[in-house]
Amino acid sequence: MGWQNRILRVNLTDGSIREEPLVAQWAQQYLGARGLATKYLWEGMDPATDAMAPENMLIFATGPLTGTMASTGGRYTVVTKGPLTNAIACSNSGGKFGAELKLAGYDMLIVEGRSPKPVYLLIIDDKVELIDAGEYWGTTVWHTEETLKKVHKDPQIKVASIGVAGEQGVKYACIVNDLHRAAGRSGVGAVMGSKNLKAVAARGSRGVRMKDATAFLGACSSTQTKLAASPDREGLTKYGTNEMIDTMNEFGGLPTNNFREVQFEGTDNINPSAMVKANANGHVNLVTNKACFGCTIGCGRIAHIDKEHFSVRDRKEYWHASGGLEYETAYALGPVVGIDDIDALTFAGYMMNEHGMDPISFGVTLAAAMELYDLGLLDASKTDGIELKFGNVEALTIMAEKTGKQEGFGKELGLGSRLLCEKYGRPDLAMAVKGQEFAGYDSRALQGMGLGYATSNRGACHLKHDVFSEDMADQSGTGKAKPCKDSQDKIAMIDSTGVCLFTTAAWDTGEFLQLIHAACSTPSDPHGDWTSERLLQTGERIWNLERQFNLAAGLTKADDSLPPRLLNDPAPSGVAKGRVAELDKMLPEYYELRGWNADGIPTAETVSRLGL
Amino acid sequence: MNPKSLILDADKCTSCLQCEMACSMEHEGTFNPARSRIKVFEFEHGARSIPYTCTQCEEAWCMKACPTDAISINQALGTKVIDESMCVGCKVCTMACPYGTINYNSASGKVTKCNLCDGDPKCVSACPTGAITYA
Amino acid sequence: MKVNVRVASALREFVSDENIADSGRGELVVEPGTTPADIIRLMNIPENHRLMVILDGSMVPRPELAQVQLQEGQTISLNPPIQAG
Repeated sequence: MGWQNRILRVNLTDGSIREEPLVAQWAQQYLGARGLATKYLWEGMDPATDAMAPENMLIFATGPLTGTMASTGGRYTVVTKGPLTNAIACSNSGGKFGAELKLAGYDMLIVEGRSPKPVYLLIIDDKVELIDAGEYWGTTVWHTEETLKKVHKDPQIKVASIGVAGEQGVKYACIVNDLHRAAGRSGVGAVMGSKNLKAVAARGSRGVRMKDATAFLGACSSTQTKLAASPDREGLTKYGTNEMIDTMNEFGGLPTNNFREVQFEGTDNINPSAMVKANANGHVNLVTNKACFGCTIGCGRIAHIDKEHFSVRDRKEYWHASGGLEYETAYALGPVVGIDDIDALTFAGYMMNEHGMDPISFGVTLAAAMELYDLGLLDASKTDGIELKFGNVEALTIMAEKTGKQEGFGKELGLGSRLLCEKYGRPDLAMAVKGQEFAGYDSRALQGMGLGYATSNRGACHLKHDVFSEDMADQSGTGKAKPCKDSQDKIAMIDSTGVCLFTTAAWDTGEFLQLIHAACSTPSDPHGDWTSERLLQTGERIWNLERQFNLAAGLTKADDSLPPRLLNDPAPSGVAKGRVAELDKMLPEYYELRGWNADGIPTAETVSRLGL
Repeated sequence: MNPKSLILDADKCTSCLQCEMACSMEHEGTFNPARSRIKVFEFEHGARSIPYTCTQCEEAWCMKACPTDAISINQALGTKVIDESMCVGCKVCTMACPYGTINYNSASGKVTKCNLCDGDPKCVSACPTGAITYA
Repeated sequence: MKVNVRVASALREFVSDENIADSGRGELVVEPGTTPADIIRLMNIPENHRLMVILDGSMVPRPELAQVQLQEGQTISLNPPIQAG
């Protein structure tokens, strides 16, 4: 069965809480999580709605494999219209909250309206209530999560909440669950804040029942064995995603100083070797690795900050361990702002988690501010006396905290790079697509990545396509459109199952088919059993529905672009030295492969072929 | 020869909860960590993850406390086993247990505890990091 | 002749030379005709280990690892391949 076949709909305006049956036909067409929530969003709201208006829907969706023994089967996805991009937002998180929501008996939680006062939602199996959150409003994610567990006398309650950043509408505020996992991108936390919803706390004991447990356990076991044997999986377990930082630096794809450079000389101070090396005080950054629900990889890092470091010397409250550096946090709090102080990066990472912000968007926005400062368009009189110079460690630690608390210049950093750079007259300096900032891969060195960034429905994102092997093999834009399109469809399917994308270290469509077939094929399914073709077509359907949402929201072909720096300024070093992003070559080919017209609009034939 | 026991190595535990899912599936027929006999507790933002279950202690206070003699020893395995037909759900054993590893299940009205899956503990094979062994 | 070697964090566990294992950097004195495959062996990195090799800013495809000959003063960089993070 996979699905619980129940969803929870909460209207915050009138305080109503309703349980509804899942629309089975939609589940058969869109699986779960990312896909199914997109369908509910499409059917439930006008895409032109303002992202911060009560009419925007905020959906927390699990997949058919969430809460099961499938390796990494603990993911949930938040789907809504995002304030950073004014496009569809689709942010996926691990930890344990998503599984708990499913175990409480719900495939999905749909939040609508706006509460007249701050509230949190408590879900304990069938007991669901909205509770006054006045005393939590204005407090951090960490305080909220720890206090809710105490107040409800259950340390096993799982919490997804926002910090002050989300309450005050920071464009890239995220929803943080389990202290340091997050539905991180596109500002989904700001939408939650606009609804006056501080937190969702869940505890489930209904469990997830499979129609044929033996078959499903067999599929779990064989796919897990394959994952365990994979060297890529082993790399993730041992070194975390930050394993990539050395490779990207040597390759010349590591954005540095707001993409002025593509290689960073300080990488050795923040790479996985630096994380395990004792510093002069004998302090070692890394404490242990950590898994999300059901995860047999365990790529998460738990780290702690040297007590002698200036950022925490007088602040004992940050002496404990917490979520540590992963590749994207290391990049966005490091090279892109020119900083290689591992304790400062770790501290800034704590700020992101504690106050609920996306480190990628924060870091790249700070990098844009640093470039504006460098060009004399910003000065210390506007930045609270802080010298916003590339490489200034204090600028990072102080601004991370100020942005999280929405104080001083932190309010301007909370706008995101697009609005900040527009405000100071240089919109070209925002390293973003559709308003969302780039992850740690430069489009001039990784051409397929550039096409993926430009066409991702949620704005610049590194997780919606996988063209890495093609980009490694060839630095031109030739032949990148097809692997980009195909991987986008495949990943849209994977994101809709409830497992983590990192399973692709070892799994391909066949492994997902084994699991989905065992979990979801039923005699009553009018579409027949699940097959590889059906899975991939489901992914393509999801991609096109997201596209339709964006077109209806007012986005056009012009939004499938890259900043001028990547299109015009050749890569200064690395394997792609002298190259620019060849988007003009790749994009028309991509539209054609998608079955879209020259303006990027799905043709009638495509719409009908996918049953949209 | 002493019977084998479960050996839980907290240093290897990543808190993935595969053990809890295997346990609940074996004993309850669902993936349901809330009903697992083995539990993982996290401390300090996940810096420590500690798996924990019944130690099958020799001086079984749960067994001594049970007013209906529903708990007995399986001599071959060393386990303390609940006879569900005799358990009346009075919870005295849950108070007697110093470790909190025998628990009341509100759905069944009985108590539950680890019985080492009758000698083939499912949590052991489910653990991906070797944190749980049976020897 | 002398060549420079750079080893990524994830490959340093294999390296027996303590300085290179610690810093990821080193200068090697090698015979003319030495290939990237020879350097990989010298670094004790297992044959067929997942690897991305960059020589003076250019990728060396796997089939060419045993063919390309290193030149005096070149920098060879050994890394795990790119994947998502």
